[in-house]
Parts: sequence; C-alpha cells; structure tokens
Amino acid sequence: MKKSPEQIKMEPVIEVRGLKKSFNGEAILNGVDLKLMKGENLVIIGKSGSGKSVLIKCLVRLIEPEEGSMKVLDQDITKLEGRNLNEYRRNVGFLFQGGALYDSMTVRQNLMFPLKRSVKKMNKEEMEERVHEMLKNVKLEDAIDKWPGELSGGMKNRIALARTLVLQPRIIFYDEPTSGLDALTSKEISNLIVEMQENHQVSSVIITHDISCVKITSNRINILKEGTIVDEGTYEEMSNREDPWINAFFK
Amino acid sequence: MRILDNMPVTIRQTLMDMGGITSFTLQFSKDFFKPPFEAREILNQCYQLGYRSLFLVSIAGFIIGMVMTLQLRPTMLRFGSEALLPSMVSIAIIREIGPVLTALICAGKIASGIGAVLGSMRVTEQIDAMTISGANAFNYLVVTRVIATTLTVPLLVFYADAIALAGSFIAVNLNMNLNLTLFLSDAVGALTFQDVVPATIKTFFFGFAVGIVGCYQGYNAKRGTTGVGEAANSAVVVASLFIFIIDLFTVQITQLFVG
Ligand SMILES: Nc1ncnc2c1ncn2[C@@H]1O[C@H](COP(=O)(O)OP(=O)(O)OP(=O)(O)O)[C@@H](O)[C@H]1O
Ligand SMILES: [Mg+2]
Repeated sequence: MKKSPEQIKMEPVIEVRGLKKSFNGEAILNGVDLKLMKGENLVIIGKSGSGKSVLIKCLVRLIEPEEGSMKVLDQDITKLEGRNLNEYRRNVGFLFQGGALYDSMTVRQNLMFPLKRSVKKMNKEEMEERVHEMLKNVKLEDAIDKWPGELSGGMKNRIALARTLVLQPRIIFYDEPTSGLDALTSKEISNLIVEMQENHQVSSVIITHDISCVKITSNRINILKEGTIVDEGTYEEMSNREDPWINAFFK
Repeated sequence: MRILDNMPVTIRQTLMDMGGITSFTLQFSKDFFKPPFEAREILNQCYQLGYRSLFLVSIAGFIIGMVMTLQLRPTMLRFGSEALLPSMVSIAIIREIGPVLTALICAGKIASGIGAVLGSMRVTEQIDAMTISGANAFNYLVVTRVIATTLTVPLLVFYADAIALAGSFIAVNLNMNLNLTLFLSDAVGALTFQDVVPATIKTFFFGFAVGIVGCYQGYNAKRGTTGVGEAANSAVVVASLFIFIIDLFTVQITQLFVG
C-alpha cells in the first residue's frame, strides 16, 4: 500500500520557485513552483510537449533553467559544479522515457556501470551482490547476461528501474515509467514504484499519462499547463474536478 | 550573425562545425588528464575499430599497390628506367597513397561508425543517463575513442603500406623476374628520413581527426532519429575534409624544414 497522507512528513526535499526555461524564444516553463515532501509520490500531469520532461531534467541539471531557484535535499543546486554536482546526482535517480539502457553493454554491465564509477568503497563481491539484489527487486534475475536488444519493452523498463535504484537514491524522477506497456505490466511497474517508496524511504516525482499508474502511485498530483502548475490535489480531489480540461485526463 | 545568415548553407554549416570542433578539442584536452583512465575501454575500442576496417584496408591497399605498379610501368619503360619501378612505387605509397587512402577509408568506416553510435546514444538519452549516474560520459565515450583512433589509424597505415608493397611486388613479377629480397632492398632502400618521418607523423593527426570529428558529430547529434543519420553522414564529410587539409599542411611544413 502506498503511504497515507498522515505518513508523509511535511518536510520538503525539493522546493522549486519561479523556474523558467525557453527554447528558441518559446517559453516552455514559465515560472514553475513545486514542492516534494519527504517520502511522498508526486505525480505531474500535463499535455504532451508541455515541458514535463524539461522540468525534471532541470532538477538534475541536464537542462539549465534561465531563472528560478531549486533547493533539493537542503542545498541550492542551481549553481552546483564539478564534483559537488556529481555528489548531488548520486543521491537522485532518473528513469528515462524509454529506459535509455546502454545497448553496448549487457544487463549486468548496465547495472555495474554506475556502481564502478561512483561508489569507491565497494568491492567486487559487494557490487555483484547489489546487482543481484536490484534485479531481484524487479523480478528479472534471469536476464542478467542478456543484451538490451534481446529484451521486451516492459523488461527494458524494469531493468532501467533496477539501474536507477542501484545507487540507492533518496529521490527518484520517473519519466513515463509505464509508457508503451500493456495494462498488466504497467500495473506491475506502478506497484514497484510504491514498493520503493515503502521499503526504501524514497521520495519520487512521477510523470505519467497512465491513469492507473496515477491512481496506484500518487499521494498528490500537480497539473502543468502553459508553463506553470495550475492545480494540485489528491487523486480523489482531482478526478472530481469540474474543469473539463483537467477532467479529460481522468477519463 | 548577419554575415552567417546570408551564406550558403554548406559553408555556414562547415564554419559552425569548425568552431564546434575547436571547443570540443579543448574539452578533450581538459578531460584527457582527468581520472579515471579507462584503459580497458581504450583497448576495446582499438580492437573494434581496427578489426572492422582491416578487410577494406587490405583489399584497397593490395589493389592500389598493384594498379599503381602496372600503370607506372609503361612510362618508366619509355624512359628506360624500369629498374626504378620498385623505388618509385614505394616512395609514392609511403609518402602519400598509403596514409591518405587508409585515412579516407577510416573516415568512411570509423568516423561514420562513431558518429552513428554516439548519435544514437545521444538521441536515446544514454549519454544523459551516464552523466546522471555520476560518471564522466565525455571521458568514457569521447576520450577513449579519440585515443583509440589516434593509435589505430597509424597502425592501419603501416599495415596498408606493407600490403600495397606486396601488391606491387606481385605486379612487378607479372612482367619480369625480381626476387623478394631484391624488391625489398630497392623499395626500402629508396626511402629517406624525409619520406618516412613526416608521413608517419601525419598519420597520428589523421587518426586524431577521424576520432574527434566522429565523436563531435555523434555527441552533438540533433534530437530525433534523423539526427543519427545526419551525424554519421557529416562525420564522413568533415573528417575527409580535415584529412586533405592536414595532408596539405604536412607537405608545406615538411618543405619548410627539409626543403
Ligand atoms: N533540448 C531541447 N532543445 C530544444 N527544444 C526542446 C529541448 N527539450 C525540449 N524541447 C521542447 O520543449 C517542449 C517540451 O518538451 P518535453 O519533452 O518536456 O515535453 P513533455 O511534456 O515531456 O512531453 P511528452 O509527454 O510528449 O514527453 C517541446 O516542445 C520540445 O520540443
Ligand atoms: Mg517527456
């Protein structure tokens, strides 16, 4: 079961204010304010092309915003550079739309890659153990020696999730974790996200169009429209909104 | 930027590529010294890149060596200097044909391959994923490949030279009897310091150009699947262009020093 509202502490791990980003003169984010509480699953909903991916990419500094402040895990991340930036990125995970598995590496090497390059303290056995543990989490231990090209879409998503979790991040950004999957597989992934929240105390920002995923995972929902967050509430509140534009998402 | 806007697209694109490649090279020289030193990945790349070009380089080298010998023979005969044929061919191959031919093949095969691989990694966000995992993607993907091409292309040139001489030896023997020892003493004996050294040095620059251009195009591929094709394609064009420019410079500089 996902956490009830009472179980979530009112202790923000992410605080974004007035975030702005434009591409080629076109404003995509136009003053986004956003908060994520510790242990919370926040779902962001918006039309395709509304800038959802851009927003979470700003939060890991893959895209540089033009204006605004971003405070994550008690530090201002807007100006982080070099080693400090890497240090910060190790505490957050990012599941890319489509998985972004390294296709020149096997599943094992995919999971080993972040471990080898960022955790200095681990020896080979510990790394192997961690890889197996993560694959067990997503129920794909058998796929360890497969190549990404040999995996189905759902398997890819789950392996990518395992790779995201391998560094045991405290915050995870999910960019459409269930897109292109059948209802059953998509439910499995949604349940995995909730499991992560329960067992590993992670806080998550989840972008999704998949309403069953919203229902299963969300503690709170934010609506992104025309570059700003226009509404927020729980699943129950949002699905009963009068506004036809919002209502359309919950059909 | 007004001037840039009014230029033909190809020239503008080339100029912009030049600027981009320059800053890319600067980034390379900065990250070159940053740990970790990815020795395994460098070796892996050397093997992959070399192995994949070997077949084409062999065929091309062999045939060019043969054809050149057959083509030059009538002319040499007319001047009554058939005996100079091995020396003549050897100098042409070592100084110019071997390096440029091999480098162009590598531009077609290696630079485009790198452009496509890195391009698809960019488009499918694999490079972003590496960056976020706290790894230095530039170091792992670009530095390793550029080092690999800089080492591999000279080896391939050396190999192509040898194969071309073998082709030439066979062509010579189609018309007269010359044993291998004599052929080699003619061919190698004709070579001087200024034939070998500048030709060798330039192959390292060829290798560097092939690597850096391929990586630049792939690493900066545009979003969407068409970006991958474009990256591979412009990698070949720009790398070939660089090879000719480097070749021209080598001649000029060599003449400056040794006359
Ligand atoms: N690197 C970039 N360069 C130029 N434009 C970009 C870049 N990244 C995003 N955009 C533009 O920003 C807009 C928002 O893109 P984004 O990927 O955030 O949409 P999205 O809300 O995630 O949509 P989807 O649900 O389809 O994934 C799009 O119009 C896109 O073309
Ligand atoms: Mg998106």
